[in-house]
Amino acid sequence: MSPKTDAQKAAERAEREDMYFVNPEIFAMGMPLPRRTDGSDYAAPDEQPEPR
Amino acid sequence: MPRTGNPDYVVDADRGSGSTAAKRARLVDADAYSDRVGTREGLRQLDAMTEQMPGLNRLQRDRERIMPRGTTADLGHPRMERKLPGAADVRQPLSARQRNARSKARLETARAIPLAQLRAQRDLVTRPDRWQATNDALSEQTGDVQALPAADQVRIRRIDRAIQAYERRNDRGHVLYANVQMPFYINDGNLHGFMTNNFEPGRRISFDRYTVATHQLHETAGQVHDPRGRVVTFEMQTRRGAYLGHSDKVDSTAHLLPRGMEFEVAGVHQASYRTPEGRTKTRLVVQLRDVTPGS
Repeated sequence: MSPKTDAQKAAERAEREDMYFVNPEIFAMGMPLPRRTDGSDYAAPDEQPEPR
Repeated sequence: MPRTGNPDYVVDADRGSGSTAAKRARLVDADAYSDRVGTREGLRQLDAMTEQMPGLNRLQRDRERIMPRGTTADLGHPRMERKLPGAADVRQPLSARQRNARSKARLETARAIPLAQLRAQRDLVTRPDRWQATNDALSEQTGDVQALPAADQVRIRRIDRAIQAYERRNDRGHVLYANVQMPFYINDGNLHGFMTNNFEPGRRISFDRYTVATHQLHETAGQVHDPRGRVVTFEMQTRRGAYLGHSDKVDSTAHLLPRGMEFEVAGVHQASYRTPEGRTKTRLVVQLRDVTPGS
């Protein structure tokens, strides 16, 4: 096996250091996603925002 | 004396096809449930026999095992084993120090393990199709990985080894939160009674699937839209699993629990929790203690 190039090593390091998130699509599989309104307050996904 | 659950059916919290946001409980025929409990016991006995088999090294035993072994490091200090909070305790967000330490261990693990393991773990929690297919297959086979196609076995064992690699670096205990959606006829009027009747203290429950949890009740509670009030949160004390959250810069404390876990119910109560903004809210929780053999 040929030794890795610097670019390959950099790509591997980036992949290892990628602090990925659990995919929000998976969150939505069970039920519709709540909508974040403020901080950690959530509203129903189909709820209309109150007029300002 | 509280009424026990229906003698004909058992609520299996892990049997429905759920998501990382919530497991889906399903009513299971009592005889079928007993069969599944017996099957799991048989699989664990096979694992015990594998452990006794002479002439195999640890790697070979791991390859032959059906359920992944727990590989947790020794506790750094007795206080690092986190205990389940009391019914009156207010659950707080995880401290910055805790998040930073766990995030550092996550990064150290990611730098050390083979890329194939890292990719298998990432695919599981970032690809919805992968999450669903893997967990449904495990649940269908009552956790028997050897009953799955060879390619799936390879992938699942890579995920198991990635989790174990984190466990080996982790000298802390965890209290974790995961949502469970109860069957369709449950709502906020009968949820508490349904849970106390069907999750009595001392009952054992099994998770054949992987479980995504968080370290913060406010974070888990915010992950589901629950207008009918049929979602409860499991509060689990364990030393197992891998942190997939971030440092104190982001409100993200996800944690991937391995498949093949067993818990004992410690109680059901309405728990208060505090959000990062300082508000106090409540949530129905079922407290569970990890009793997985070999953990």
